[in-house]
Amino acid sequence: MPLTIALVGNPGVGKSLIFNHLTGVGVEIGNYPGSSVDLLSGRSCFQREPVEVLDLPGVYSLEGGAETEALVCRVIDDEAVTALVAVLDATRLERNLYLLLQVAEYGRPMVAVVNMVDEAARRGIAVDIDRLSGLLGIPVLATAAALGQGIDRILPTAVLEARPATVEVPYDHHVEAAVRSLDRTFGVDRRTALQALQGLADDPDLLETAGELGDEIERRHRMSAGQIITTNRHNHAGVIADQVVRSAGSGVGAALDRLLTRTLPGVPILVGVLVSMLLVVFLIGGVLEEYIVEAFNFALLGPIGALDIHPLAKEVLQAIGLALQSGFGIAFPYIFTFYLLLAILEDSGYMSRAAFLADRAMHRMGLHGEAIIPLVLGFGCNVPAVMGIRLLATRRERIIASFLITMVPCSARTVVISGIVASFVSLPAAFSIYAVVLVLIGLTGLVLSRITPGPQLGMVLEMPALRRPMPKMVLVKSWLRIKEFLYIAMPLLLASSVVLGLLGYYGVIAAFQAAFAPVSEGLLGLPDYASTALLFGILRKEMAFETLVVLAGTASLDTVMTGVQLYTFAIVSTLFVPCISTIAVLRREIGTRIAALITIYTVALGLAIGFFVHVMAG
Amino acid sequence: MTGTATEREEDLLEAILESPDLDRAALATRLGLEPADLADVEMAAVASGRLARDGSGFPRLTQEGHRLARRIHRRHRTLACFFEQLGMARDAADREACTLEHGVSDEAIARLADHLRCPGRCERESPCEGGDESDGLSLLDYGEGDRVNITAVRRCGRYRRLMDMGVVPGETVIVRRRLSNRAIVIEVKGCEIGLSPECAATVFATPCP
Repeated sequence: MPLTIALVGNPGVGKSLIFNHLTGVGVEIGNYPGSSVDLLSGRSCFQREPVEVLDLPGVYSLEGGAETEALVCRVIDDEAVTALVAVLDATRLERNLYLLLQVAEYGRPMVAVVNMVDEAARRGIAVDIDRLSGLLGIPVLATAAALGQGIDRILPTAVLEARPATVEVPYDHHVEAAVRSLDRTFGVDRRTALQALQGLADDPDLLETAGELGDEIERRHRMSAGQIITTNRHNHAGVIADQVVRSAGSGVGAALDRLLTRTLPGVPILVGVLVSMLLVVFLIGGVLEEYIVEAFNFALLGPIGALDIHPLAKEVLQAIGLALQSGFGIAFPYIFTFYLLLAILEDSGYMSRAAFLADRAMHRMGLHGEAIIPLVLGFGCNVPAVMGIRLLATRRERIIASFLITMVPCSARTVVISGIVASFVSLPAAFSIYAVVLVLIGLTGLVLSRITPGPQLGMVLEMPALRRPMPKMVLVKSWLRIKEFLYIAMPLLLASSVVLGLLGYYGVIAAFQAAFAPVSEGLLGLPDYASTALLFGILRKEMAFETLVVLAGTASLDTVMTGVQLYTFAIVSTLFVPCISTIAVLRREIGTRIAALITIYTVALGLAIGFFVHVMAG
Repeated sequence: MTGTATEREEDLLEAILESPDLDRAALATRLGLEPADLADVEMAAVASGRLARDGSGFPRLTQEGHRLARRIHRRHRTLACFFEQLGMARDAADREACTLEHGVSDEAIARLADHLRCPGRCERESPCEGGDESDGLSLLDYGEGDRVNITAVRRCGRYRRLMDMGVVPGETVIVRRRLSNRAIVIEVKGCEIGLSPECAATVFATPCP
């Protein structure tokens, strides 16, 4: 059986960074609670034996009933895992020990790693590692992952010295009695009994009996069994922490933080940060894109055009070339720049502050502050943003967020807006499209929060300490995100581009254009070829612009279309149907029905707004 | 033989489950039966195998009887909770539940219970629902810099996450910041945690001396 070790810990304790050091494979590292939702695995090596390293999502507890927590429990309980590595934050040891005590109850071989000892030292906090090891009954290591210190000892210790922890939480005697009684009746171990008392078990009989015992405990204590168990664990964590932590510092709360989390100037700062982020992406992206497009024209599309082969083969080759060109032309200049900036914000801890400030506004839309992350991510590309809704707590929030995210103008739509409106109409007109779209997002949220079923829970969000982002980790994180984008979006882009090329080759597009002409001309007041451009936009948003140029037969669009027509075209293609990659991801994340609803809604909204602009201004 | 239990039999089983030590006279009063009628019902229950007499001739629930009594009791609790939530007085809700508990289907009860489970709805199901004046003010009512002792956490919304973060009764926390939108940041166990107003309202605390 291959050696497998799994990293367990709270969000933001540096687990991902340690994972990165151990495996050398790039991996998501986030300051934002819950950023690594997927189970990441990588390979390492110890004494010429391969070791599989798993990076589990950061959790605060194993028994909160969340999906990620269930996943972590499954891995912890999996016999295939040789050893568990519980990663603790030296600056927040007590709260971190709470999770460790839960993990210890599984009785699996484990070691503990006290990370961030460097940061703790700066804040005057010292942890007595040997004492902690004695109290827990497992090997404990001190590391400073940010500096790479102590990492080399993790694998040898985990493989050779991991053992079940001897630490045991002394629970209230009624709880202990209930555990014994469940053991007698059902033959379950301590951990299963404790979980059953908190309503977590598969066996209905066990659950029912545990429920009755729990009711009894509750009658005596005026606290539920779950509350008592939790409190006992926290208290024991506190007892351990008191014995091993020496603190001379004052703790948290820097002056900068006070500014960031106040309505004034916090909210203006937040808006400023987001707007300037988009502006930077806009500027850098525009410049870089030109170079990339030129390079592709020169190295790929030009030679393909000059080939003397069967026209069908040429069509396909050209379609592939175009897909690569626009894929990279968007991905690197716009999306990668955006991801870099976002990673800086996340790793500095700012996004948690942003989420906190945005909570009230988000609340009106049926969401919570946390949802600002996927929404902002949507400005880069909707595809990873939709995948980001996994971290939202309820299905209701996920449904609302997926509607709103698909309306967020992504980089590709930015290309359409800047290429058509900013170039040929005016810059204010281009910004007005953003304004219109943002207002529509707000209105959609308001309506959805009223009609979407399900409870709305509050927000409980840890605010990690503000820290300077590490350039390497920012790069790694952005690289992972762009890789995800390329893996998911690129194949779809290639396939759709080829299909489109073939459709054009066999004259299907001309037929579509004729059929859709009434809508295009009558409803929106656009030339008939604009409908084809809009259709192409479903495959890839920025193709709406490129196709329009090709079909209009000139790059100077203002010579063939009026300003209002250009504006209408841009706003319709911005709103109208998420691209095919987004639809595919929506379907996977939230189901066919909601994905279909979102598609229908955006088509209707796009056409309605287009019609409105046409009638009002045309 | 185990046939379908009569309503009176179900009431008897339920009463014995709730108060196993009542004597026959008290049982009869509680069920509103004449002692002779009670004896009949008891006999029927013994015959159907739901009751057995112990050494001193006292009726005890058999396993089968226990199961049925528990089922009826659960129906009663769920229905009564539901009626109370609709605004009925506790006594009236209990009486109504007593009538309906015999006819209602298990599915209806299961669905009703799911409906009620969203905590914060019924204090009968979870008496420690808590968080009234006796527990002090909610965190919303404290100002920046206040050091407070948590007395109760109402079980609703994201209370599990709150508790896992260390917001448990007995813990001392400091209110770090209050926003104009009533969201607050508290420091607990050396960590800062942002709470939206609806969450802060479920945490009760008294000022630290």
